[in-house]
Amino acid sequence: MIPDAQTFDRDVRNAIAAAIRDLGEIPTIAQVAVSLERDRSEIEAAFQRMIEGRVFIPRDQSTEILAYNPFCAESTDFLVTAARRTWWAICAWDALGVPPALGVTGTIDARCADCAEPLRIEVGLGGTASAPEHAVMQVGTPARDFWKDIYRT
Amino acid sequence: MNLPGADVLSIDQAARLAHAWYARKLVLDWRRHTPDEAAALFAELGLDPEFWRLH
Repeated sequence: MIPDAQTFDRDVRNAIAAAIRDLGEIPTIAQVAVSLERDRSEIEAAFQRMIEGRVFIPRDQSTEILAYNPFCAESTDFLVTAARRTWWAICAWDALGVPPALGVTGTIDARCADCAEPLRIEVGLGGTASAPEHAVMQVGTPARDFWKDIYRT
Repeated sequence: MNLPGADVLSIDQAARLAHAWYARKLVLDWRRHTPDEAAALFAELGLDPEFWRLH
């Protein structure tokens, strides 16, 4: 990648991060184009490079963002309350990552994947969390295969 | 019930993993972990090296 593209992509990443942090939403290509005062086509090209670099998960058949991990643009089974907002995450790993990404504590409300019991996890600072005694996190796909079918992972 | 072939992490391990993985995601100079950095993190957390190898 040419240096200018690296710098531009960093600016685009920062615009995405600012929208998440300050507005509580994952922005569209059009929204990033407005915030950076650039053409939509330039932002879409940057998004495409980020998809190829696995910076985020795109929506199906699209260059728009589905998940700028740990944040997901659509409702899921993992609801996180943090920084006076609610957020969605695509999996338990990401749900545990929402409060750290925001630099705050948070609460995860989900359901046990085994018995469907409601499950609440309190996420503290510095990689700490408290959960019901027998709660665990299962990862079903080996790490080397995470991106073979990221929508299933 | 454990999923066949799944790895099972304690909530403590999972929280530490998530913190290490995502705490810098929204900062100015975020970058992906290199494979070596990821492998070192997984080892530090005591995760199964075969399940968590990236290649």
